[in-house]
Amino acid sequence: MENHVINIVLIEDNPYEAELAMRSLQSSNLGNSIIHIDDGADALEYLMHDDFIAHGKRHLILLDLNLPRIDGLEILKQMKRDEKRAMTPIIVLTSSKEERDIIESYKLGVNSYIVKPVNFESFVSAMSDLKVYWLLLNQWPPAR
Amino acid sequence: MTSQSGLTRRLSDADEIVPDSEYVSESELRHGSDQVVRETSRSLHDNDTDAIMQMFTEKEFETSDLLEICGPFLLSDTAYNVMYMSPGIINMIPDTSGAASLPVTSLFHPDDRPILTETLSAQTHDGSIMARLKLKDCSYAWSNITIRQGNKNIHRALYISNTDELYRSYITQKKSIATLEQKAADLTRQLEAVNKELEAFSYSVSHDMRAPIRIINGYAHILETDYCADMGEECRRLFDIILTNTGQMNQMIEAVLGLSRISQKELFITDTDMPALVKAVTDEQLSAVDNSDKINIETGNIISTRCDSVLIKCVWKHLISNALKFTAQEATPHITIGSERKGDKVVYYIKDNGIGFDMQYAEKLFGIFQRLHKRTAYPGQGAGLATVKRIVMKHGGNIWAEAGTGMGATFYFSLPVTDQ
Repeated sequence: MENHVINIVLIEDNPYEAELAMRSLQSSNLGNSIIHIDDGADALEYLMHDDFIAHGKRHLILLDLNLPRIDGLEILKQMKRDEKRAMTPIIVLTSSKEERDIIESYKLGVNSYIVKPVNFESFVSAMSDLKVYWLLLNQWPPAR
Repeated sequence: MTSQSGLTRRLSDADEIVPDSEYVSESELRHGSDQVVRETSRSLHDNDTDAIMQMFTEKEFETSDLLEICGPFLLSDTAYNVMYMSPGIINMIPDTSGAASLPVTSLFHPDDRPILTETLSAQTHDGSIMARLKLKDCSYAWSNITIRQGNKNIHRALYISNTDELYRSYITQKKSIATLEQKAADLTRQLEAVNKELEAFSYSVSHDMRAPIRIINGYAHILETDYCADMGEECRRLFDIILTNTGQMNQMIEAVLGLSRISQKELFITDTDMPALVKAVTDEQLSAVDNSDKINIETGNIISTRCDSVLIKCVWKHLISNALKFTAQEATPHITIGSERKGDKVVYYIKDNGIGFDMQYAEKLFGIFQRLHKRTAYPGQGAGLATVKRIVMKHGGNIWAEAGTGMGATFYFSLPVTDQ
């Protein structure tokens, strides 16, 4: 089996939330890289770039819903209807427990929906579990 | 129109004609008709109808003029088929020109036709009856029908009165209904707008306000673990206060959200096996306390009702857990649960022998974040009873409590008995 470096793309506009998330994600090193983007339109530009789907690249997207310019649901929609990007796992990572956000996300094909715990210790452990699940346990689609 | 029917009435009553503002306005009199009044008044004074007839025979007035100014009336044969309708009535009722034959009764409300038929066929002398005349807009107006026998008993004359007045009041009523409907529509729109705002508010509470709490909690945590490894006791206490309060703030947000969700949720009413529901909640709650073997829960007659079983389960959960919480210090906690049918409602109650509360604070009980006991002694956000109240009210029921300090408390809630 080929060994791919998995790139975690954190799309989050609040710099403090982002810092806490980066800290949590970095606390367990599973040999992945992390990139942070703080704006919806910038994120879409990054995701739609040819480099993103270059051979052998694997990404795990952590997506906030409330973003400047283009919101998370729109990014989700565009990714899931793009044939070359549809299989990239996208995890909504948000504060919103609103039913309509959850339903809408699943309708658009989100792979997981996680409400960030308020307690930091719980958050760190959630991020660690998330990495273990997606980077180790979960079987990735074969590389194109 | 009023002046014309007034004049008609005066003529037919063969009464004295005097300008009467109720029937003929001064300007109308001056406008050509005062001549008529003056000339006819003498004849009428003498009660000489022949003189009037002569005026018509001499073509001083055309018969059509008279018919024009007469109120609504019609002529029929003795079987009450319409032979002639005055302009006054034609203007008022739906178009009947296409009808080959027109029974008088067909002009009235279907429900009034049998009694009308019966009365008319039994009519051997002059009389009157009330019935609903069908108007041009297909609505109905109550009218008084005065029936006159023809001299040769081959015709009937039916005078219809009061319709004007009724029609006017009907129109006024219709207008005021329309105004009310408009107001109701406006209010509904406002309410929808307020609801949308509330929804936006709860969304913002859910999403935006949780972030700063998480950030405070997160950074305080990092500060504590990464930079204050050898902090003193006081420093740790201060950090704990920050962390405890962020947790509490989060729980309060959850409580507000829970309440607003209940308000927005539509009730899903089903037949609910209330005894089973109460038993399930009781077992669940008992399994969560340490002293369950000492607790005596007595369930009496529990009447089943139609309700939203998920929400009513939540009501029982809060009430039973409260009863357990506030009897925890008793040597032998005792809780009684029962119900009673009162008119069109079922009143459920849960009585405990716990610490109770002072009735002077009873109204605070059901408010959100209101507490009647110290937080340290009895934990909780103070949102449970507010939630319970909202659920019960949403069902069209009510909730209240009776208690005394150290004398236990009884909580009552009622649910309406509804049919399928």
